[in-house]
Amino acid sequence: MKISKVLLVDDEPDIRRIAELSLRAVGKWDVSLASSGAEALTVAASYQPDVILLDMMMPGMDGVTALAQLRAQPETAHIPVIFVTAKVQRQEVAEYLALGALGVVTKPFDPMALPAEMRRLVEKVGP
Amino acid sequence: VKSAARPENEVARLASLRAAKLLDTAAEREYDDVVTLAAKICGTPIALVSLVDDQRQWFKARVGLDATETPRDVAFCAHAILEDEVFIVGDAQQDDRFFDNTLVTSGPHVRFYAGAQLRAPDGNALGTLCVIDRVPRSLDAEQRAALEALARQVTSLISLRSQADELRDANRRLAKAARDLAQSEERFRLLVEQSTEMIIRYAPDGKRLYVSPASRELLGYEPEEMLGQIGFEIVHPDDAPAVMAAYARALGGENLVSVAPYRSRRKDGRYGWFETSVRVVRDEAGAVLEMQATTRDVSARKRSERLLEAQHTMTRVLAESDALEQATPLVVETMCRAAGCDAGVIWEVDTPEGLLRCAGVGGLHAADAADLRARTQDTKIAYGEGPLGRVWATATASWGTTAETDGEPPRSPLATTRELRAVFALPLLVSGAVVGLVEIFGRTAQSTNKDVRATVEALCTQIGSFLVRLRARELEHRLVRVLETTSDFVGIADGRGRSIYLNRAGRRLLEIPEAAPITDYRLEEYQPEWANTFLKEVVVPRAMRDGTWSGEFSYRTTSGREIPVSQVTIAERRARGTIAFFASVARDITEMKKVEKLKSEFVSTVSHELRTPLTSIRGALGLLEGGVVGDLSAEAREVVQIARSNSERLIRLINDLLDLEKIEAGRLELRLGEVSSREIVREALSGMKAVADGAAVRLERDVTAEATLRADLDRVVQVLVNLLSNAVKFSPRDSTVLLRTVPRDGRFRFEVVDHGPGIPEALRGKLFRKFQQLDGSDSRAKGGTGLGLSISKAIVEQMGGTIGLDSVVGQGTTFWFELPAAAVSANARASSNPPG
Repeated sequence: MKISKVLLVDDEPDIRRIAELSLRAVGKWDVSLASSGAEALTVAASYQPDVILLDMMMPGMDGVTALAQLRAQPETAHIPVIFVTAKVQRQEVAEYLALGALGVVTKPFDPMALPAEMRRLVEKVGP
Repeated sequence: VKSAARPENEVARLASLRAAKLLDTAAEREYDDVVTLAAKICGTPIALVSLVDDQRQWFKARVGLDATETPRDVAFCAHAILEDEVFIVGDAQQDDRFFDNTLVTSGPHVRFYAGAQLRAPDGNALGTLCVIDRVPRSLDAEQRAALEALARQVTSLISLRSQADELRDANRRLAKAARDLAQSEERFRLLVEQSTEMIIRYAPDGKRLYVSPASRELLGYEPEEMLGQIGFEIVHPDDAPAVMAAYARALGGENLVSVAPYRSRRKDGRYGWFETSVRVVRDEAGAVLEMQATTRDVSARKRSERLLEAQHTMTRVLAESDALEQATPLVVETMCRAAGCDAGVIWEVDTPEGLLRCAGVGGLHAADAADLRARTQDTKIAYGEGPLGRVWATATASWGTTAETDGEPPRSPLATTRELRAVFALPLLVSGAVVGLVEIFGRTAQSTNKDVRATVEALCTQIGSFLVRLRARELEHRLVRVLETTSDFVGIADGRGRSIYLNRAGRRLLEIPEAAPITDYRLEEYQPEWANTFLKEVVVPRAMRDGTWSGEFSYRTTSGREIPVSQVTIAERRARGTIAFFASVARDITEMKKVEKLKSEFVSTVSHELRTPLTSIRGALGLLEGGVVGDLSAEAREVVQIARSNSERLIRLINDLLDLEKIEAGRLELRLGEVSSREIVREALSGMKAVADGAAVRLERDVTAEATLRADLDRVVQVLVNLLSNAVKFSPRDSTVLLRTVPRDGRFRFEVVDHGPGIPEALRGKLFRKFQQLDGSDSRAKGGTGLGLSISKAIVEQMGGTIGLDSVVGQGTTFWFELPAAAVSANARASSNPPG
């Protein structure tokens, strides 16, 4: 599968901006932004990204709930999700994958390497 | 020949014959006259008094015959004694029984025989009075009657003689008895005179008739003195009534009266203890003839009784006392009774002042004690000075009166005013140290014999032990006061776990009322279930094994609140190894726990709040450095790169701090599972290649030994990565770092070998502590946080392993850690492969 559109969800504007720059400039992708889980649900439905980069820790709806909601609505159920989270244990990663996430990217991330990592995760599941 | 049969009563008959004492005696006129008369009356040539003995007949008197005896089997008399009446043989030649009898066929040629029985007073026939002729004939009636009468005469003679003999014997016995009596009286006199008991005979009017010489030994008086002027006045006034009453009882009719021990004054003025038995001798009418008194000296017995009693009294007095001052009067009194003295002082060593001071005074008489107290209570005695000071200094008893003691003011007037003289002074020793003195005074002259000395010394030992106990008890009281005052929980349980003490803070902690007793609690009721299980399975076994256990524990209060405590539990063993008691000291750490929780929350909050801006910073710098947002000059790029690497270091620091916080809070949760060593090696090396390449260090491995370990994969990899990155950081360029696996006795070891500078011995201990870096400037340059090794150590130890290092300065260092192996295997692959 080839990535051309990415939805980036994070409540922190600075991080959102850095990640956006990384995805656009390094990944050369189209990027749409959401600052909360709820916003992500609407944007994803209309924007139909190839992949969603979803922050785990957000006020209001957290990443796990947002993922469940995305899976629940038909328009977004098929879109792969990559979690962005603080330092995690291998066990937690396994739990997230079980929830249906494509993979986990840990914060802080290297913006120069982020698109490559996402590409690797997406390609793992097939074309 | 037809011998006569033996009479049926032959044994008795012979006994009577012997008793008659006639056999083989000399001829006697009375008997000779009877046979002469018998021969005359009967007209026979021969007449005999024949006694039939066992094997013969013997003639006490005879006429017309020379022989003195013949064998019994030919004797006519042997036949005669079988008869009741006169036995007559008219013609022996014509008689079947006698015709061939030698007495018939040869001399004396008997043809006629007539024999009348001679009977003893008991009726037994002893023999006959017989007449014999050499021609056949007979006796007329008169002759026969005369023979019988004469036989009776002989019988009377025999019986008279027997009575005379008895009389003679009786006389002899009487004479002997008289002689014996005389001897016995002599012996009795000797006995009385040599006896240690004093024997006195009194006339009914009480006058002494006799006093045995033992009076010298018992009372010091000559018997003559006792007979004269000395009377009952020597009996101790206190005992005199009882003694007089006893004598009165004897005179009143009791035959034997014992007088209980009483005191009498000896000639030398000292009193002794005596015991007397009084016996009254009466005539047939019951009138008193005399009284005999036997007196024994029981002073020695009384003394040992007194000494024994003194020891018992002392034991009781001391057992019932809580302080020396309290015990002193009775202690001194007991000592006085034991030694026969009157008053005394107990001195105590006043250690701070270095003086002996009066601890108490006592005496048998209140007036003595009062006077002694007045003169003693303010007296102070210096070490080594005067008799008492010397007893103190030498720790040796002083026996006997000394002029010096008596003359010591202000107590010198005691000797003159109260006649009290020092008798002895003994040190009170506790573990060899003098803690006090006992000084005893006596009024009458006292000899302190060895029994008294031994007893007094034993009493002093008792007092010394008492003082030791007292001090131990005082210490105990003080310790209890301390324990009751401390704010820490202190509980003591016996070897079986039953509570024997719980201090005030403990009762407060458990919300037990203040006034409740300090003992007998079931502490398991004040523990949450988990703590109770933990106590049984961990605390007690560890304390028994190691002597102490310390760690966090928990109690549940009466109201159900759970209180976390930091506790030390001690298991105290007896000499023979069994547990004497368990003691636990615990401190409420509720507040500490709260603070810890706050700290923990603070750390994680701060970490998160730090991480967010750092993510932005790190990302921004990354973008700048990557030239994504515009080209940078080489210098600008270098500066941005420095900022980026430092932001990464800050992130690592935050991660390490979070780990450390979890470890310290005991919240580092391990996910233990079966993990293969191969996986650990692969995971650890995967991220290291880039680092090693960057440092121009070659990574090698020797990991043919493999094992399955019970471990948390992430955490083991974290440790191994830490060791590897340290090794790479501190290795010179172009050197190698080797990762090696080694199975070791059921454990499995990972080794990381570098060829760095090595670590000096003295610094190795510090390595695993927090924020320890051997050379600050160097490690800063290497980007370490100083937390890695202490985190690694905590992780390894939490998995039941050990971590350490071997190092040679100038050659390199091997860091290693070992974990318990579930299974160990080794394959045959090449021992050293490049990382892949």
